[in-house]
Amino acid sequence: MIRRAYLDGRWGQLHVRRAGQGTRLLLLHQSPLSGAMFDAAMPFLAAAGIEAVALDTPGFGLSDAPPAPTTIHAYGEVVGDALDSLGWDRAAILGHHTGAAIGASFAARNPGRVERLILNGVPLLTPEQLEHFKAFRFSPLLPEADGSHLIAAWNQRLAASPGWTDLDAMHRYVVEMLAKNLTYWWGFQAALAHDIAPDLAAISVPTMVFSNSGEDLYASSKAAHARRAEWVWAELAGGTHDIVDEQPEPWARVVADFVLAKMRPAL
Amino acid sequence: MFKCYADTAHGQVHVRIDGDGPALLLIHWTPLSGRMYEGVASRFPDRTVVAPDLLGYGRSDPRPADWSIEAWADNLAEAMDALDIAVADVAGGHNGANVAAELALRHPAKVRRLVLDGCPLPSPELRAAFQAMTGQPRPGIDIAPTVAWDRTLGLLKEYIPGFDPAADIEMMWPAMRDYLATDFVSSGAVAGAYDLAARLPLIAQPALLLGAEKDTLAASFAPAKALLPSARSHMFPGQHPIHFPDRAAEWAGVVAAFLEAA
Repeated sequence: MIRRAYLDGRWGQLHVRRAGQGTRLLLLHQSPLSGAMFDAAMPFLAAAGIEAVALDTPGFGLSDAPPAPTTIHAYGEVVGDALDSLGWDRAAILGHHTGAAIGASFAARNPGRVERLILNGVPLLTPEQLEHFKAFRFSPLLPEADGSHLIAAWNQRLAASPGWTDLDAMHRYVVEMLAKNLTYWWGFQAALAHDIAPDLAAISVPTMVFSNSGEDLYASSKAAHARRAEWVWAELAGGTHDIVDEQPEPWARVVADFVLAKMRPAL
Repeated sequence: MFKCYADTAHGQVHVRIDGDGPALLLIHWTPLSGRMYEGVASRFPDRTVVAPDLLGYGRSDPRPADWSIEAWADNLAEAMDALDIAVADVAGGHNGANVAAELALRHPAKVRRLVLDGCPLPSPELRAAFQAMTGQPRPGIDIAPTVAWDRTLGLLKEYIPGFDPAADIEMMWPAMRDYLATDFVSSGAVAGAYDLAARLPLIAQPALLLGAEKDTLAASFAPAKALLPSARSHMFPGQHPIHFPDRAAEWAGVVAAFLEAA
């Protein structure tokens, strides 16, 4: 059973979805979605004995937005606000895509507050990938009287989701984008302007890189793991960046095994 | 504006809260949400404005399929308990007026004064048509992909006669977000099953009936006054002011004057 709540943060209220009791895990979502992207996996995490809290990054979902476009490091500081507001000194953290950049930023600067870190799809982008993502229309989505901007939004997410299969998830995520029509692209802008490499080098907490072979950041994730070969590597077969909807139970099993320390970093 | 959830037996009710003082509960029109009162919330300086999203709308959990105006009223009473609000002045618009009236009747100790902003008093034929409404078709291969936009436009044209999407396009986004939040579940049958005309004469609290000349429920203004002759009343000129940010003070002024006088 997922319950929703608001926490306090530096830019206003932070919205979270939470389920389960036990080992604490904070979940950070990809752009331009919200903590709702973890809904399908929450019951499995809870059943495994995890207290999972999925945070809406400021400006996404129902969390209040920063006053202006901001940086991954600034979003990372908000992770500390969320932990404070939850009364959590420490927690495991999982970040997916943009959320992985935010989680890495926080973990690199606050190793004492991060039990374990899961980087789920690492945006360690090559110059070619940066060019690829720049081809997307990351700008405010302005309305047209005939509603044609809705088709544009639909087509934009289709183009950004090669190999997609889950129509219901596609609908929900386009709706989330429409709900933030003027600011949904701030997360992409922050992620594409950010170099995660220094944080990858600085992280000192037990870390797992987790990806799936069909997603757009699979090669980037492998490249990230290659920089820190002592970290755990896990992958699922196939899927896309909507892997949590596509394979919720296997995804949650990998996450729970690492969070509950059933896997150890290779010595 | 502070936001929170009130936990109830049927799910979480999302609530916007603003200000300090005695509680003023504002119940939204459907299929909109408490969002529609964001413009007026700051205009009651001596009151705590509390704007819930009815179950099934806005950011609240979906409502059960078997539902009624009475169930919404009971659910709001439960939400008031969860928020530690013992008694409130209550204002509701359109379908929200149904819920407000029923809250006043079923939980009289919780409702001090009542504002009914547009009373749905449909003809028997119209009520039957509402009751026959089931779910709206969801987007799919046979439905135009802009269905949410088209329905939102239809809704605003109904609520705001003469609505011009080109001139007022910024009103479309928030309304469409509210519409999408319903997940295409209509409350037409729930509203159609409720007979406000039979309930109005039973209201004992000090009451204010509001109407607007160009509101879709303008024709119900005089019949509602006849059914509740003790109530004060006010008819706004032209369009209903609640839809227009530049008329927020006008709406709030009339409500505040009633709350002070009654």
